[in-house]
Amino acid sequence: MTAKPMTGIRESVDRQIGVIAAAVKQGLAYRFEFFTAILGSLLTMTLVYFLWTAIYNNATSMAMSYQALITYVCLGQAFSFARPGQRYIFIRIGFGIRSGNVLLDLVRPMDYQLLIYCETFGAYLLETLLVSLPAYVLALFLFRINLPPSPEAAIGFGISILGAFFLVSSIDFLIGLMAFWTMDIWGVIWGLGYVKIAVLDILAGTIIPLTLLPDWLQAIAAILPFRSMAYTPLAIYVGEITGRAIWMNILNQFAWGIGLVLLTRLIWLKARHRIEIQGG
Amino acid sequence: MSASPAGTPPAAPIIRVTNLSKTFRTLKRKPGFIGAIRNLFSTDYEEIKAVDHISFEIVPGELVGYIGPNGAGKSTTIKMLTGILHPTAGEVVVDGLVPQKERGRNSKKIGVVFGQRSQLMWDIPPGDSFELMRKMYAIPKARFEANLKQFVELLALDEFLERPVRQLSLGQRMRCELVATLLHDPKIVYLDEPTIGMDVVAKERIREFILHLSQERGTTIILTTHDISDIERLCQRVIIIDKGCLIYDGTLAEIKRRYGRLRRVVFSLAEGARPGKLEESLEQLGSGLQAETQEDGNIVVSFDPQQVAALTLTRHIVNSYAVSDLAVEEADLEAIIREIYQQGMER
Repeated sequence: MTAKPMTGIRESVDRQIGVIAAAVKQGLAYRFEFFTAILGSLLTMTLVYFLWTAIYNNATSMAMSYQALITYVCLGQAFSFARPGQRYIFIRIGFGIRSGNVLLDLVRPMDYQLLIYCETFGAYLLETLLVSLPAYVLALFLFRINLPPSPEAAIGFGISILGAFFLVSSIDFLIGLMAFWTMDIWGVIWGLGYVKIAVLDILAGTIIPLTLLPDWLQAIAAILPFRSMAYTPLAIYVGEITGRAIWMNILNQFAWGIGLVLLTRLIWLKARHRIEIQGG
Repeated sequence: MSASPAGTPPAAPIIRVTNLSKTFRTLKRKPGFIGAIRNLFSTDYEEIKAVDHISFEIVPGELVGYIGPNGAGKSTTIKMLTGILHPTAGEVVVDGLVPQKERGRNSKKIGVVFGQRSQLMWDIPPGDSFELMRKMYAIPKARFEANLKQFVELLALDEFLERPVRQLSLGQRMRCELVATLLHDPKIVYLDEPTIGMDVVAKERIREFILHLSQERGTTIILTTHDISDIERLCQRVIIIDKGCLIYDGTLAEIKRRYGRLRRVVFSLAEGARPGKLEESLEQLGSGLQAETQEDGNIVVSFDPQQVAALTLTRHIVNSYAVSDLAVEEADLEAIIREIYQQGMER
């Protein structure tokens, strides 16, 4: 008797690593894009920096200190999930359906959803290393943003930015799945895609820290999953969220993460059923 | 076939397709501006029978041509064989599995090439895609390296293995597609138009490789193509479908024997000579003769060799007219298939 389940798990993990590695290799082919992305990141940082400096100079009272605020918004740009030009999942799915290349994904001995998540994770790893971290280091010097106030804040930020990645990926996957029904991939990519970016900028707190929003909007943001996609990691980094609250927020993030993965799973199975019945 | 030489009993089928049917329900789309607006609210569906009660069996090691005109249902059949599509009725069993029920296990046994699509990562060298396949199919390292070495040799890949896929020619890319599909030693391979858009040299290289795969490795292959010379060069058996129905399943030789009435005599007349009442004089020889004058002045007479002997016909022509040149042409498979597509097959 061989340990069959163990072999199965090892093969599955190998497969995932293989897909992630392939995505990294593929990403490295677009070297120029990383420079432009860093440049774009710095330009939007400059924009939010001056915007918030101007607002702060004219404000009577603010819920956050100037230094924390600038750190928050600049970091938000460096690690943004709303950056245009990212290899979004829904673009990948949309084009796959439009061109019919989704067939090639469906004959693989790997679940389509897992395949897509792994690919995106590879691209995300590379982008973090080659865009977000350099942009962050430059922001430390150019905009004099804060370092994390404590090791706990740094670790909390790291974990929670990863959690944010899974949440954003599930949202992107959901948007992509719409293409299986509408076949209108431009509507999905440019329509829903931009709605997503706008939602991330507002309800996730990428551009405006949630604590500065009107109470009623804060209340809405508090019950939606979007806050976990930017506000949570950023607020942990700047020390808005501290101590036990860090881990409660991360727990909340993972609960949403699991919930959204289950939801996307359900919708994906429906979409797959649709291909099986309706054809590509 | 190659897997069951004469004398031995035929092997158990590796692919069994029984009464396979697939009906698509699509929205009827009306043309025009008003029609486009109506389409937004329309619930007027149309049923299209893409595949209609098809049955066939394929034994291990066979290389079968699966052909038919555009829209005949070839791709739909392939999609059901690979497990991507669910049949509306009927059943597919591939190597003991129903592909729709056991996707994972089935996918490790099969390889698919879609000639019009690429599974290779576009901006990096093909080697990286091969490496991905190694992980994807959990191919043991030694096996992977041995296969890769052999394929690289057979397909002469080494000259462009380092180049990004986007810089490869169509023929070079297709060779790499084949490798990516075959590294995990699939027992069954579906090739959907593997030679599409290629020049003759590139086509020949692909064909030689497919032959190698079939003869040396004993891989079961289903080949879909619009290039009849692919079929002529590679397949002993052909399945022809049209409008979703199976219209022929048998050997190539049998098609030629049964439907090869299109053997032709082509001749040209000496300067100034007139064909006269050619049709009438031909009728005396037997039935099924057709004469036609081509643009270049050549006269083509098609005949059924079982009705009229070639010798009788040529002797008649030479004796009756001042002929300057004459040739008897073999049944041209392409012409036969064209006629079968155009008229459907009377069985």
